[in-house]
Amino acid sequence: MSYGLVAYTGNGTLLIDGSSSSYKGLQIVTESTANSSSQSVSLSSGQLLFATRSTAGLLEGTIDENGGTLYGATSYVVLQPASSFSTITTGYGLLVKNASNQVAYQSNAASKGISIENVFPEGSISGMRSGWTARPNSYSGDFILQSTNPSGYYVLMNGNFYSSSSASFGNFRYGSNFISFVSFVDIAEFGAYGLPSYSTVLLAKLLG
Amino acid sequence: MATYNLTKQLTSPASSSTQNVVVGDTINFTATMPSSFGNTNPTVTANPNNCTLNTTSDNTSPYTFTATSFTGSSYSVQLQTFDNDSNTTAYTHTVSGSVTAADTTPDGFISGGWVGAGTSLDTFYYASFNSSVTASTTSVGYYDVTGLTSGVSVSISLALTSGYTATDADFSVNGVTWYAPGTTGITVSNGDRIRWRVRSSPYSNTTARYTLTIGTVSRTLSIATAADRTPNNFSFTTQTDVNLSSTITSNYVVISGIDNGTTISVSNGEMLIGSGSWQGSLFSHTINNGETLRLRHTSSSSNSTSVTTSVTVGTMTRTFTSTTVGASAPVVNNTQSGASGNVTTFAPSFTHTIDLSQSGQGGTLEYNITIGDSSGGVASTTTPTTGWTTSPNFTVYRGRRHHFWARRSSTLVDRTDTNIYVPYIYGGGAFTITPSNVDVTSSTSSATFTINYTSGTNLSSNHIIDLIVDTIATTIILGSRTGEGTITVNSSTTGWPSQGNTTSFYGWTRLPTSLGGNNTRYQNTSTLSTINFPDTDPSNPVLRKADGTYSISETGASTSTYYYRKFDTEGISSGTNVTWTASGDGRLSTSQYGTYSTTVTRQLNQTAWLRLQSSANAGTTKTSTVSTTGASATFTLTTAGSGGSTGSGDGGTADYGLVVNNGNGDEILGPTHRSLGLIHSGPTGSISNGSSATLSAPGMTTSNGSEIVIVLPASFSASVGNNITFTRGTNQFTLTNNSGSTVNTTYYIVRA
Repeated sequence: MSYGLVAYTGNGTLLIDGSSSSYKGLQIVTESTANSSSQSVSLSSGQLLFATRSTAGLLEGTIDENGGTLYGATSYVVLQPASSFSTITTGYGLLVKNASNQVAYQSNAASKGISIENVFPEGSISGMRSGWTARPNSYSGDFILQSTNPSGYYVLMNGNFYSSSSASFGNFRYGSNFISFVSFVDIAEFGAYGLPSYSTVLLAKLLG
Repeated sequence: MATYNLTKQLTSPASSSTQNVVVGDTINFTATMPSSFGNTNPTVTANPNNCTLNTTSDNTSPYTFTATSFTGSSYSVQLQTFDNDSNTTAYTHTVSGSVTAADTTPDGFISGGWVGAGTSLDTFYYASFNSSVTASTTSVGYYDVTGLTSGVSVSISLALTSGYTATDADFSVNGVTWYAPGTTGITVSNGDRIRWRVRSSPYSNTTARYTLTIGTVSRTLSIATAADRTPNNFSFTTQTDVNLSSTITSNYVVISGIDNGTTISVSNGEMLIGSGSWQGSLFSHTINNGETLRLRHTSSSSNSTSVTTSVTVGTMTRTFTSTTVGASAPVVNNTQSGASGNVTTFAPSFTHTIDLSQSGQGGTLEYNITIGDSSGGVASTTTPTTGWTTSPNFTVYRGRRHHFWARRSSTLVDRTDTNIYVPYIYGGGAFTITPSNVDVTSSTSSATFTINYTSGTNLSSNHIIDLIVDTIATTIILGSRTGEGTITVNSSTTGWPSQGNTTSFYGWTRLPTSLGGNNTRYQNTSTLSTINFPDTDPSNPVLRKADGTYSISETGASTSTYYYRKFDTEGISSGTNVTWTASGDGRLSTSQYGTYSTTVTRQLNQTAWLRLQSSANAGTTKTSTVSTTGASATFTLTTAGSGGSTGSGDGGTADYGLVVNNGNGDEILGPTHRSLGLIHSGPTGSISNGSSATLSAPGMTTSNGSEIVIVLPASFSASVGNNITFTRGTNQFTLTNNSGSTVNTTYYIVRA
């Protein structure tokens, strides 16, 4: 029988797993506004990048393991494993360690949390809905948020790719009441083709 | 002039005799006495009439008198002696006669003139004084004065004839001296030899004319230099490779070095003199100095054949030659406008132009086309054997490649050297929608927007603009119009916002297939436009404790303690200010530990805090109502009763699980929010193109959607992003690389 603090959400998804030898909660290490024209972001090992934009338009980026550049973002947050934060020994709060004695969660490491609002597994959404042309300026992709003001919603940007108007993978368009998936490749002479999500798409909000 | 010597004997009675004279003549009289005259010392007197005597008396023998200056039509001289002895006039003789005027008109020098034509420039010409030879460059001609009254001298003079060009002229008398025009005081008489010469002008087509006057007779000598009819050299540029059977026009030349009126003629073509009209060889023509000249003719109807036009200006003949081009395949040059050939390019129209730059080579030009398949494959480059036509009217296909052909003969064939791609004709293009937002109310029945094309857009007046609601189902069309202009959206239209809502829409364009488009809608690149129906009536505030539970009335409160309850301003339109008022002891603030007052102004989704201090007395209730127009909520706070039970107390909550709040009391982790945790990470190692790698993923199942794989290449490219896939397994997953090159990636396994 394992030991340690384990918490679940009301839906039974894992919240904290102190019983695991490898679980490390991902907590916000950076929250920043972004230059919507172009924002360079550097990432370290294990860090995830979420971004959002406050107005309607495209949110795109090319992000590899070392980071990259965001286009259209107005804010972004970087999450890193709880074990990467310095352990705070004063004050109050909740500190959870996993079975490997690594910090799995430290409440006073960040003043805000993150809430995963939806998970879209790889291949579950496409950059081109049926009957629509796949173009960066059209709302051709599947929706990851519908009938809801997208203000405050962040999307995972790791692994996204943007190259001018000829290729865009795993990116997004923010509308007034939706977020759609933008993923296509434009091959000269043969036109643009929508692409399915090759990686998991995460939709999140900040807490606190 | 004549001199008469007359000896006359004086007689008694008187005698007389006759001697006619010419004006200028002289008569010398010698008077003699008869032998009977005994006076040895007589005095002879002479009485003139119409003449002059040198003396009128002479008393010494011989008795002589000279009479000159005869005048009138007759004269007389009476010779008479006076007898001194008897003191009487005894012996007399009278000579009389007619008086005739002198001849001053030389013979053979008749009035008139000679003209020398075609003479050399700047050369002396001598008058020959005869009618057949007008002038000579040798000084052989002369005139001997004759016909004058003997002894009469007349003047001779030379003068430039008025109106003619002065050169150099002079005359001589007896070959002594050349006298210039205007020399005075020179006289000639019979027998004098006159020579006369005039120098020709140093310029062509110029006449020098002088008049020589001898006595009362004048004669002119005109020396006219010949007109220059030999122009300065000129030439016409030979033209080669000209079109067959075409009008070929030469370069302009300026004819110079001639005198005006030079004759010009053309053969085997036409000429254009100055600003005149084209002239052929039918009539004679002249050309003036300084006028332009151009030639033209019709080129040969055969390949590589010359046509030559000749033109003669005065004495000079020049030619203009054109040679037709040789026969070759017609060159098919392709230019394309209106589209780049890329299927993704928005273009309302396009034009292909085939430039048959050698169309003048003759023969029959025929055209053809080869078309690629619908996948955009290249068109055939094999010379078509059928389909050639002189009147091309080809059908082209969107999304296909085409070759265009032309030929002059079956062996002289050319085609476009690249495939011509016919793009789709799109409906895309930029325009603006103004205003960007229209606020409406319940009484507003319509909203009008204006469509203006952006400068340089590809849109035409045929494009249809649809205003499509920006929602999930983008089929709600608020309005449509064709081309620029206004669109009025009515409140009866589906999609018209209700209070508190905003209808956002984009303009889309499409070009119907009937007009060459594909009728596909393309979203305008301008910003979103909206019809906004603001909501100014907020929902009732929901007072919440830190745990998020709804709180209306609480008991068991500590005495004299501040209790904070927060609420959001909801149900109104963004940007609308709502002023909340707290009644009683309640106070309001924008933040929990901010400044409190009885009112606070908030907007949509902004949080406000109600602070109510519990009573200092046990078991005492305080109440405060947070209200604004149309909304209110009351918070009741009762302190615990003194020494007694609080009854049900807080009673707990429906929530369960772990909740973590931050220092502000805001939840940052809780059971209603999914979080993220890193389970595993690692490098994939090198995966060559076409290969796969199986990698560890603890907890992974084939269907565990909450277990997330994030693959991060060391560097990204389109091919990498498009061609790396992973397949879930049990506690592992497989990464397959078809990107065309070896990749190294990092991967994260994250649980959400």
